[in-house]
Amino acid sequence: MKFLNVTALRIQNLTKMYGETIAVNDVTIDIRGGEFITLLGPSGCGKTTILRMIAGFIEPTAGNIFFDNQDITYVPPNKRLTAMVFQSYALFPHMTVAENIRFGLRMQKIPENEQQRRIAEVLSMVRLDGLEKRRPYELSGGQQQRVALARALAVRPKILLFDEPLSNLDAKLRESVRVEIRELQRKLNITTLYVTHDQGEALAMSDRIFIMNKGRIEQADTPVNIYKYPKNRFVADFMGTANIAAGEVVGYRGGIATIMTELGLFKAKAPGIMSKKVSVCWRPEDMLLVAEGGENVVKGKIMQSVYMGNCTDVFLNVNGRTIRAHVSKDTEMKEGAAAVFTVPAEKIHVMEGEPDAV
Amino acid sequence: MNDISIARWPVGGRGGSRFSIRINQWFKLIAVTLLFAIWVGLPLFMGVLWSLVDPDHPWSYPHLFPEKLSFYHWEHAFKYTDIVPAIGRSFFIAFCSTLLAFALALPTAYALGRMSFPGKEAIKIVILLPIMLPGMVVALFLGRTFIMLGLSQTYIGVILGHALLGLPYMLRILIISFESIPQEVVDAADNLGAGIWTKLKEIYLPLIMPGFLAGSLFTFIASIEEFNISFVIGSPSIQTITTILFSYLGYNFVRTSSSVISLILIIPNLLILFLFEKYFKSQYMSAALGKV
Amino acid sequence: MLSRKNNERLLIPLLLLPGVGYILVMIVTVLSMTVLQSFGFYNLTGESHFTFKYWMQLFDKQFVDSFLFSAYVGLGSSICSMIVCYPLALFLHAKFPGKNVVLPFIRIPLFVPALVATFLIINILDYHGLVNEILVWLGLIKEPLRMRNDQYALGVLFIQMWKNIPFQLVIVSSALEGIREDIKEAARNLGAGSFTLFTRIIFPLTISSALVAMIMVFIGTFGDYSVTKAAGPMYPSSMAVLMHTKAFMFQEWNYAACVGVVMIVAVIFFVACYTKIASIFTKSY
Repeated sequence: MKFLNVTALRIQNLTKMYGETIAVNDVTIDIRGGEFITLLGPSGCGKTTILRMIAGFIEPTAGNIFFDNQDITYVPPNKRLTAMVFQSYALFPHMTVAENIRFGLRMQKIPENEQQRRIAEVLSMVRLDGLEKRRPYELSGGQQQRVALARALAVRPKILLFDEPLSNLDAKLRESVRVEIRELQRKLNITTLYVTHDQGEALAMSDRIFIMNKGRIEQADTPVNIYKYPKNRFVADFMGTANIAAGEVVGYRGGIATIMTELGLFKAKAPGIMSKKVSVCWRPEDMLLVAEGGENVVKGKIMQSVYMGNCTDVFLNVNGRTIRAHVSKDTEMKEGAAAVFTVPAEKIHVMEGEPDAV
Repeated sequence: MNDISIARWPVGGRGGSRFSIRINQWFKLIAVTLLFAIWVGLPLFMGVLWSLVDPDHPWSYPHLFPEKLSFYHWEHAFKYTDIVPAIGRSFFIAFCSTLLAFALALPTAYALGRMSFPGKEAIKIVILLPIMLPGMVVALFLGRTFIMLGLSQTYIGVILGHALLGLPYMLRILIISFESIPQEVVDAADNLGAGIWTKLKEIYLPLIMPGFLAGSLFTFIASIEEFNISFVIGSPSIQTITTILFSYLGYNFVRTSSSVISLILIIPNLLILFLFEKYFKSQYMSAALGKV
Repeated sequence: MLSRKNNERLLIPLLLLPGVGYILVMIVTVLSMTVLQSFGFYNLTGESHFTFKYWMQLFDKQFVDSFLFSAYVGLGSSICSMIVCYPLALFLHAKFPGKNVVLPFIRIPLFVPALVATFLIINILDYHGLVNEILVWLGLIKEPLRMRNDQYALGVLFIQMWKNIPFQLVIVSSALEGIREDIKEAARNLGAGSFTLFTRIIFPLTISSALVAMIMVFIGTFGDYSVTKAAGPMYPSSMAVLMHTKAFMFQEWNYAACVGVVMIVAVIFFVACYTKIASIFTKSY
């Protein structure tokens, strides 16, 4: 099965107020047909509110939602042809697996034999063949999750919506299920909006990630760009551990800027940098342990070293600031000793303006 | 007090070995069983004995047990008294008032269980009024009003009254049932294209079914054992089993006949208790009975 | 366009109407009928006009005795039942083998109609009932005790306890079950012994349910008609019996209405007292 009519989704100036509080603040999103988009952010950032407005459970205060240029902002939820996979799975407890899947098909008045065919099809898609007659409470959490997915896929929705669907699974299962979901989505070529607060999930699954904070979108880009070139401190911090230092551009030649920061002098690639006030940002795994300094040196005392299995996480005290570095798991890092690191110029990302006080 | 915790913390000077804990637990079972036997079993047993006393060998002091047993009083009660039609009347009234209470409670419980609006908590108190006010006051002055409306001494009058007393139980249990349906399940139905009627028929009704059964059983039992309204509004035209029993107990106490009627009155309730035991979940029990 | 919210707002009163409307119409009718008749309106015979006459005549010895008697039965039943119920609930809360089999049997009195309970207990407590015979046989008393239609209404109290202890048990037990196991474990973990666990955790978390259970029993027993009539003393009668007798035997509906108003006010007063006690208990923790 392949979804031939892929639906594009456009959200225009969408705003939702609850009394005085703004849950979603003037958000505009354009999604191509077949794209897998993740809304990523901390709890309360408005990502679930957007999802629920797309499904039609909440009416926006202002703004519009379009499926392929058709305004569906005020269409009731049962007439939208979205399909949602809920955080709690929301399986109907009094129906069997097959009846759960059949529910949406019956609502669309799909003929009996076609219903049977589709139930079998989606169940084999999520690898639950033979469990038609089970009730939800007889299934494991992972199986329930896949029934929820099958139920959503069976109706062949225009838009597939996920509301933190993996948060009730254990860590190991989560990693395998996210690969499965992504594979299915690619195969079916179905426009998908996925809400999560787990950056690993977002990085692993998405075509594009929309990072949200306080009802606004902070940055929208591919996983690689979001991780490598965060726009501001919030994005940098949310996408994993980041070392950030504020500074001033003191020299600029051939696309390489020299920046004076509280941690010392840094040289970094910064094509087209405009302002004088900037921040530099790099990831702990990009720091190289060296014997003697060279360019972009970070020198400090080891406060704490934490064995992580795949690496050792080192907390350095540099001029009173804490800097994180990941070193090979086999390197011995004595707490209290001094250590010298360098950061390759191409690994340092320059953000314009002061880092936000997040 | 909690044996499990003793088992988990064996040290601590309480000196409970695993063996003595097991003894302790069996002791508890025996104590509770004995308690039940004296508290509930004995009165019931004596009631049964009294109903089986042979009229020619009266059971009196100083005999601890009757000399001879017979079914005379059972036969007598069924043959020569109003008891059989009264059972029919009581069940008819209970059935109708339960149905009426459910019909009235369903939409209201939906609103109180699933929608939010100002004054909701106050309304949840108001619906308790019929069981908060003294029963005889309600019966007497509802009866007084029914006299004016011509509803006194009619089935409709008694049914209306019993439905009023059953409504608080029905409403509270149904409200809890509606509240306990997760919003995401309703959203999922919406999301898959269900309209309001489909949601009602295929999601809400099946999911409140246990609550509906528990509420119906409560209302039904409340009606069967109700006395004040049956007495004031129904009798003497409509004699139910409670008013008949009262006439035996109150004006001329006939122990043997009373015991037969008492046992007849208990049997349906106990049947309901044991057949539908699983529906009397403690959440419904406490919803219906307590937590004002 | 923005019509869904408004539709819902119109829908709410419509949905509330059958249940709440029915209760309100009936209860308001009862209340206004009671109050108006106590001031001389709605007489079945004779003329109806406003008068304080019936209120002036109300407070004679018979009425005061009835009031005190009903208050005694109400408070006595609710307090004595709880004195037995609470320790029993604690005792039954712990796990023991066969618990699920035994518990429904203990609930039986809850499903026994009050009049049947009256009969069953009278059987046991009567002049030649089992209790008296055993006591005489043991030589503890010479003469059988009078526990039916007695002056202290011991029979009534006992019947009410028999019927209401399982009722209170259901409410208190569900409050006990409602205390999450990890809260108790946390208290134990922080060093609380059994006694502290009870006084600091279990008692404060169940006291309001226990008081509610007492209120419910009070309402039922204070306004009781049938049990007192069958097993209580000849004099004084309970308020409900007094009211009913005046209305039906003597056709003194206005007097009965005054009694009814006093009963309602008294119930409100006592419920307020219990609520106050509950709030004192919950605040002090």
